[in-house]
Amino acid sequence: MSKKRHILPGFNLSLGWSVTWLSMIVLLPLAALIGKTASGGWGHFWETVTDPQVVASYRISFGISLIAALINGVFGLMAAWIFARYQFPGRRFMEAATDLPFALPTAVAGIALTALYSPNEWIGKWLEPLGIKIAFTPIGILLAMIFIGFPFVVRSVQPVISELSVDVEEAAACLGATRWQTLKSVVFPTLVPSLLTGVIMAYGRAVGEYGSIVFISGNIPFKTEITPLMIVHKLEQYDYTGAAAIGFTMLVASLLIVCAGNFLQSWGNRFRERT
Amino acid sequence: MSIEITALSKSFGDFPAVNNVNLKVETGEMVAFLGPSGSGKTTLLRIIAGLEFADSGNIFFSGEDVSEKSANERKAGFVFQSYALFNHMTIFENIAFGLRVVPRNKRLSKQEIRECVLSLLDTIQLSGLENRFPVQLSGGQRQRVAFARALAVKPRVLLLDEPFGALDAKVRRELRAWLSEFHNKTQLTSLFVTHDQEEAFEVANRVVIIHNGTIQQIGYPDEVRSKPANSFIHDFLALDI
Repeated sequence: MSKKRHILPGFNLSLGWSVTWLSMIVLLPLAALIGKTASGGWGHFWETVTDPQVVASYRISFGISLIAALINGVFGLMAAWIFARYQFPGRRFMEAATDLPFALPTAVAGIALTALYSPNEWIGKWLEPLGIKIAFTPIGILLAMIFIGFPFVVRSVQPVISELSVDVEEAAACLGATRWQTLKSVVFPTLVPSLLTGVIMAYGRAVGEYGSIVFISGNIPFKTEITPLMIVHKLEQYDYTGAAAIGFTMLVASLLIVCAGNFLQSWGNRFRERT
Repeated sequence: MSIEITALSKSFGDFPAVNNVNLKVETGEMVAFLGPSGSGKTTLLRIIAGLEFADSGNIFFSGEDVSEKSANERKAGFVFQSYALFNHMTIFENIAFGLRVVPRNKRLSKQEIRECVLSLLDTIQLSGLENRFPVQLSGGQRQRVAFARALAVKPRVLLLDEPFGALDAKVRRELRAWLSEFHNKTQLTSLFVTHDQEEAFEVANRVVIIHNGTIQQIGYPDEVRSKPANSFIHDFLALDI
């Protein structure tokens, strides 16, 4: 039997290490989660994940995350465009500020947002008389999710915009296209794959987000409780199999999101070189 | 269409890229801008297309002053060294692009656009490849698609910026011959930038030698070769011989 030869050395060694590492860091905890879920039995699992309060939290977590990710898609694209295409004073500072949610402990963000938007605080006290409530409502959750998801979109789209060649835009102009037509049919379609990546990452992050949301959401059952909070509730009641059951549901949902994302990306990349 | 350039100047900061250029190109001519890199020939071509704007001087297309018009109003056919094809569009969509961005009331019907694109594909000898994407074609094929795309909008002038610069020698010779033949057939006023004198002398009716942003000599190929106007041209032409 002939052995397949690789041009690059060290293939077996690096593959072996990668698989071992991936197994220890990712697969092992996932297996434990599934094992823990299974230990509670099917009846308990079903009862836990279809509990009306938990179902209401899915709607909030997955629904509001989607809205937040879409809003981030629009404004993140704008910010990435400005950072990549224009030189202006304070640009570096703004770029650094964009990355802040990556590094900031999420609880800090939660406290900061609550301090701004609570009915008696800086912004909240002006909005309250207008009948707009942000803290302790789904809008507060939305704001927190937008805050933590924003850098994902900017960071995935910006390098692609920087590398766009100006030639194609000039070619479009010489063919009689207006600036708007050029953006719409020449520039934007080439950004779609990276924009999708950013939006999906922001979505995934928002679905799993806990720290920055629990302060501003007020955690009102059926109204502003997010799914990760339901897991924490179960843990507080020492219901580990219940917590694992909800966790498993989130895991499956996340897998579906990632798969959908990969599918959309390969569709968006269909015109690129296939190797 | 004739092109007239009067007292055209353009600087990038302190660097004068184009310096007081005057030039008249007659309808149906094929003129080459020949010069070493950094001589300002590409900048001159880009100003004519409306991709750059001059600091002073005027450009006339058939007597009409277009100096202040933007690239999408001038609609000069422009072919880039890098092809600049739209990679996310099929070959068909690339060539049809210029026809589809026309305002609805002046746009050709779908059927007319289709016929136009297919006939252009035939002209560039790429019939049957309309559903491919640019990455699936060779360099020479891509540049021919770029030609077809520029020609689809029936430009009054064709501007070529080192059109064969990224191609290998064999393909370059083939395309050069094809371009000559195409020009003889259509008599479309064309300007092309090159640093390759063989190319300039073979394809062009007249050659404009540019150095340091100024025109050193304008003449017929034989004239320039036999009587270089100054020592720079003499040395520049001697380099390759």
